[in-house]
Amino acid sequence: MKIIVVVPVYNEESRVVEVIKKILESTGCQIVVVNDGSTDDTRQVLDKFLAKNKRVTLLNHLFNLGKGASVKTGVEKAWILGAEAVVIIDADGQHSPKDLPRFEKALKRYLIVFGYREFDGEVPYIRKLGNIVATNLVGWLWGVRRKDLLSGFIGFRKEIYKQIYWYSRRYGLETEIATKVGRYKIPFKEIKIDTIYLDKYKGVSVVDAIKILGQTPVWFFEK
Amino acid sequence: MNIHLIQITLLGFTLFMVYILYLHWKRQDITSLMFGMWLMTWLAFAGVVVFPWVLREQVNNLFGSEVVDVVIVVAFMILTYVTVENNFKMKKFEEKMEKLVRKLAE
Repeated sequence: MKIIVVVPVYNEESRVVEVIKKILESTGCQIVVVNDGSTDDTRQVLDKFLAKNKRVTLLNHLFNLGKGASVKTGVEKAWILGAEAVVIIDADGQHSPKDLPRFEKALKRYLIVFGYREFDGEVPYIRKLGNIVATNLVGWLWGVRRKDLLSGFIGFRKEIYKQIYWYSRRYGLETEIATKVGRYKIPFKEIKIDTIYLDKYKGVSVVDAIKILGQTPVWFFEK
Repeated sequence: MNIHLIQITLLGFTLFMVYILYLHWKRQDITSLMFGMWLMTWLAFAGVVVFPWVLREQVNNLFGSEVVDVVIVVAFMILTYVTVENNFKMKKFEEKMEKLVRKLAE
């Protein structure tokens, strides 16, 4: 099965090269990197590093659209490149590329694979609580019992893309995909991944979380 | 003539809106025709606020309420409509921007 790794990036000039190096070492898959309008030196750093690398395709958004939109750009490019499945991995180092082979193996049996964290280590309490509340609420409402709703380490096959197709441009991507997995009762696999927490101030705010949860009924019921 | 605080507030708001309108007209964000039309609208609003008794009898017969109350309810309805319309237009605009940026990403 041809699997392509999709890496959305936004302002990760100090980490993105290291992440891509680890991905290249961990898997033989092609990689699509989507620079989502970074305002730091991410683009320059990537242009320099990837100049002679044929395994990596770099796409650059003119300005920032958000994680959901940049993942969609990467995934649609992956389908054009002939991928039968994709694995999405964050560029900020919070997902360990050494877990990629396990995603590749699981995708041979399952239509969609989610990574889950056990929140050991120095994860802020409010983030843990937010994740637990969101995971349980979405699970109870839409029938998708997950261990970690907000993990962005996701792999899925092309055949379910139309069913899980997301409209969220920003951080609602993971929740929207999970809600649609519940809607269409798509069987899924969860893989334990390392909990790596680096940026206290990045990610979903409480207001964002409420807005995202408020949209789940629309995602569940729309056709 | 008794002037109530709410009349003073609404009149102050009207003057503020006319000023905003004037600034947009000066910056050529709106044409002179649009400026004139909006100015007439705000002057009519100011007239109703300053001389409510002119319409009091008709409003009372129609709505059983005071003129200012009716003006505020109508304003709220207009605001709701404008907000909803803007929301839909923004969504459409964002979709178009996303498609364009994706196309240019290659």
